[in-house]
Amino acid sequence: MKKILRTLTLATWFLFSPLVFSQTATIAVASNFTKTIEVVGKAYEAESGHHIKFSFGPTGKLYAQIKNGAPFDAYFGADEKRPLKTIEDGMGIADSYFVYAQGQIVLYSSTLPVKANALEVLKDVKFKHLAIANPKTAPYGERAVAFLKAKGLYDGVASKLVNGDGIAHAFQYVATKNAEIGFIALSQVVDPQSPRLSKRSVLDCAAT
Amino acid sequence: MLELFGTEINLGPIWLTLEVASMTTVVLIVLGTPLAWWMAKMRSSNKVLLEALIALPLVLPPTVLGFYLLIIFNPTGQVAEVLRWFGFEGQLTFSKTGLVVASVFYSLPFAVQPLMHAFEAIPQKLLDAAATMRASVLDRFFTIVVPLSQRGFLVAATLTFAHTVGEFGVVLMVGGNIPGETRMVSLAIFDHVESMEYDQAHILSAMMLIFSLTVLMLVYGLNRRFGVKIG
Repeated sequence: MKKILRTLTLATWFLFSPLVFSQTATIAVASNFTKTIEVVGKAYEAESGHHIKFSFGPTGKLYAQIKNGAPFDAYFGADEKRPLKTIEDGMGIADSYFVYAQGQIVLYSSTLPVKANALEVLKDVKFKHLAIANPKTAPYGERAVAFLKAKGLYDGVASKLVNGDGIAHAFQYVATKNAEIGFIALSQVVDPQSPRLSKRSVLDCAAT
Repeated sequence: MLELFGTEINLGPIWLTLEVASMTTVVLIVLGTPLAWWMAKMRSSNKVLLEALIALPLVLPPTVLGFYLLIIFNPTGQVAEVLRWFGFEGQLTFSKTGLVVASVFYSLPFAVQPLMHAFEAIPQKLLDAAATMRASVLDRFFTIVVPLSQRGFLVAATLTFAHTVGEFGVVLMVGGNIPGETRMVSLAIFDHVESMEYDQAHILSAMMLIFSLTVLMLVYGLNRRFGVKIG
């Protein structure tokens, strides 16, 4: 199969804060990376003696906050676009920019056979609600819409779309079963602490 | 779409907000009146508990209500099953009906409290006198209680309407931000701000500010002239 939906490139940059002495850093992190960075953060704190405060939210919202002078020392976005934009805006150090991970978007449903036949499921529209992250502010939502459009399925499901404020919110709609199906982040499904979702009902869109 | 100061403003969220607020107000006046009457006449100590329950939305973060509704409204859950049993096939999350149901809980104190205070202020002897003239309970209610509590009704309706217009947290949590269905003004503004569409955010916010100020002046004006207690 053709690779339509590429993995999301997660990128970051750092601000001027030197972090030399024991200090507290405030770091803005895209919601999809929440669980991962909490683990990384704890390990970092133990090793370095510095303290980290995380601020989670949709990448676009964090970008808006940074642009309005939010006191973040680093920014982990869920796309390359916005971290680069903040550097363009003169809010970050160009050299600090790097890709830190590859995120994966997945289609999830506990009732519909998405793994076996995702495109059929999306074509048949036998669901009331398809949850996505708000495409205006969340890269995962943006990619979900791009995927649907590329497959010519967008118009068919447009009236079924419900927008979570971010990927965490979209996940919450699916996890509480208010939406039967949704585009979420793979990291949310594999996270042992999140409400249990069956891995069998996941379509890895990156592989489609 | 409307063009204001060179900015395209989508009026959909405004109409939707007015619709949800009107429906909530009608439902709350209809349901809140008997409740407030019952409470006004209540002598038992249970009244304290009831009053506290009704005032809860004033104190609780909207996220608490939003979270519970998300769990309760879940279409595979028991509440949905009971509703289907009664012939309601729809879903309460992500729908206008759901927003009205949520708003009824959220704005409950704003309807019940002014009504209850208005009813409490009605002298019992008036009702007793009417009863001696064989006026039925309903007759007494509509010819004595309603005219004497007119301001109470007005304040209850205005505050309920205004409070529902200003709703945000619950709508964000259970609405799903669907244009024409659940994207109310507060959410549209939030969306504009998050996407840095500050022009649209400015215009909608200014509209809300003027609206809210007008409503509150109306309520306080009524209050001063007729002395109805609120809150």
